[in-house]
Amino acid sequence: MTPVLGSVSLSLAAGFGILSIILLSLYIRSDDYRFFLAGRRMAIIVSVLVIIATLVLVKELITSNFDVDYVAHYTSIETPTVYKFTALWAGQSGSLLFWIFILSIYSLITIFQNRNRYHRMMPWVLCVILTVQLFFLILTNFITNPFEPTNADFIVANGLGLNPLLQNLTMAIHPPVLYLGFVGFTIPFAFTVAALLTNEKGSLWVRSIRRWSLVTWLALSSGIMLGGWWAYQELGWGGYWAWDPVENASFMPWLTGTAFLHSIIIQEKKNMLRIWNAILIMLTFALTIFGTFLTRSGVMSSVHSFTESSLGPIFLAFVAIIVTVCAVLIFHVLPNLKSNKHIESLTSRESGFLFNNVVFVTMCFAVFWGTIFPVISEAVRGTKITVGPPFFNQVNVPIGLLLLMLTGVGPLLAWRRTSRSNFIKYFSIPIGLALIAAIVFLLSGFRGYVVISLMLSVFVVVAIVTEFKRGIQARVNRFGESSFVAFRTMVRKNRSRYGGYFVHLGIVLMFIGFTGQAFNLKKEFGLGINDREHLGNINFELKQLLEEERPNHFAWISELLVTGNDGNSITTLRPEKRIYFHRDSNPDRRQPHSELDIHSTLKRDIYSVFSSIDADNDIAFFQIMINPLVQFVWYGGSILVLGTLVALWPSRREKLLT
Amino acid sequence: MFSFSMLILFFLFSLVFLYSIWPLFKGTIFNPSNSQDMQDALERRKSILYREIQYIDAEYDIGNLDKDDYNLSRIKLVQETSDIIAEIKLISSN
Repeated sequence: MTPVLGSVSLSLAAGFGILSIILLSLYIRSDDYRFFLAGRRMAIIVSVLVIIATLVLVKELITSNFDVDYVAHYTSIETPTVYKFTALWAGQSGSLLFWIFILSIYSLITIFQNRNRYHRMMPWVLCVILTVQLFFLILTNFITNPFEPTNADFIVANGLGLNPLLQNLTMAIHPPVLYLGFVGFTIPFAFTVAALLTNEKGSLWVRSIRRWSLVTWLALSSGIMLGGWWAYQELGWGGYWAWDPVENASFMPWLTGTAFLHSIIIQEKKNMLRIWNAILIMLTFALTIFGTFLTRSGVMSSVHSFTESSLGPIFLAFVAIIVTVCAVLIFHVLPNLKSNKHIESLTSRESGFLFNNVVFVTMCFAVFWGTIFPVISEAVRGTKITVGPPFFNQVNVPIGLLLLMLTGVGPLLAWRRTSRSNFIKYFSIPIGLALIAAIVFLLSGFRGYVVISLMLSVFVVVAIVTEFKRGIQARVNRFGESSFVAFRTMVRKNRSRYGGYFVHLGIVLMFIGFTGQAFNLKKEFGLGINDREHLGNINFELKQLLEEERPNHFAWISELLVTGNDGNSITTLRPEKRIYFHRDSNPDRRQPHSELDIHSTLKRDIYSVFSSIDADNDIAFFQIMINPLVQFVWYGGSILVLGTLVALWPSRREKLLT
Repeated sequence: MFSFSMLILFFLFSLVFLYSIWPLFKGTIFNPSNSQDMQDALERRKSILYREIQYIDAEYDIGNLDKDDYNLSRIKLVQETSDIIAEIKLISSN
């Protein structure tokens, strides 16, 4: 009965969606408010029905109803309950349902939050959200229905189980957080389309999307970082970013979204860049759908390709429609959006923001080109030319360093123009200290990008600290406050600005972490009991090799004693070699998996992978890596999240306004 | 059992459908659209301007703005704020 309820809910949601769009269109044409109220109620019902369908699928997954094909494919009796729940987004139809589920929650929030606001924009906003919902409802109703019954003449006693790579707690958090970011950009996009269609080009549009964009950006950033964390903890190649097409798919909207968050400040403060901002948010939304296409179509070979399907052309057609509609819309409203204000000087903060936008978009284009080039080369020449990390690193490292520099330059520039005296006054200390740091790094034997990256990191940190110091000093002089009170009040009175600076500090720490990659060490070796090997100045000794049968896998557990050259113990690592579905009579279905172990300090990570075992001779084969400064990436990411939360926290005046 | 559940479902669906189309059977409903949107926009602009005034004060104190620039910007912002307050008062009184 319950799978039928899920299926019926999805069908009804599609029907209500169409009716709602018709009613809202009638309101837009006739201005009869009754149509709007009915259309809005139907939009609420669409979202509620999608939520019901999702809850039904969750229930089927948790109760292991193998009569449902999706449940039989992605769970088994042995799958732990938490992973039965996460199987919701493990497969194609489930993840598409999860997409609309999040959009439905966002839709409900948008409707209730704005029930007495934006009366002219809301019908259009709802139409756009409903159109996106309808697209995914068509997919889940007619092409890949998660409630499809099992296609077997017998009772399915057990399911196939979840991919072991997905049986990781980070994987329980990473996809939902990433989806929150991906799907969330639908709302700013909907408001942008609505603003363009209703000729709303001022404060209302900025107000309606600023907070949404920031929340969504925060979710996308956190999702990307959690993805990196998962890859580092689970995939066993020792890195967190591989320029994989699916990683790039999340990175591209992040780049344009970040550019948008910067340029919207110019619109809010100077009423400039309106067309550019509209283009950026539309591009970001189109890239999220393109990202979903990359993840779900199977056109790219990727570690993330847990599903392959024929959905590619449909997604591509949807992206093409979005881009065409947006282009026509922008072209249509172009004369109304043009601002009569211009950037007055190259040394102004406005120029800094604009330059930063150009760099972000250039980087996005480089990533986009590198990502789709294999597909284009295959389509045009018949041979798939792989574009790997060397291309992305070669192109993006200099662009990234330029962005890092701008992170420090921007805050030091004044609005309109920076006078020569101020330029010298504010830039001399950060530049001076950065140059001294560069000399020290060069004398320490560092070369190339490492020196540039560390030098720029020093420059940015000094620039930001100088900014804080000047702000505090100004308050101390003006109001006679203590330094601490001045700091607190200054941040509280301008959360978006100082929250932004915290984010920049987080970015600097992440760059320091990225720079550490230049010093990575790696070695593979086999060890018998009490055998020793070394990497750099660290020794590894295999002390024990244990076997253990667990509910959903069999594991060989190694015990590696890690000591320094002086003989002092550093840690004991316990990487495991696991065989999932080990009880399956078909040996092809047994899945080997390496569960790695990492010893992390701020200075370096000692990363151990139990790659294989010669059980007859008790020899275990390991891959050991020493990765310096990786922790800086995670600490930087955490500061980025905290900084964004500071920027997001509403001020008392904003609370009163809402 | 199955048909009974289906009957309940059908009944619930009918209720939901009726709820959603109910406004269509009411008489004319006041559309709050234009005046309220304009007031919202003005209130928002006012709050941005208040923040901007605070912001340029702080920027001037820090030394990020020349005295001439600061004076000119402040006069413009204060003028725009007072225009907007007057406009809000006008809309409220109507």
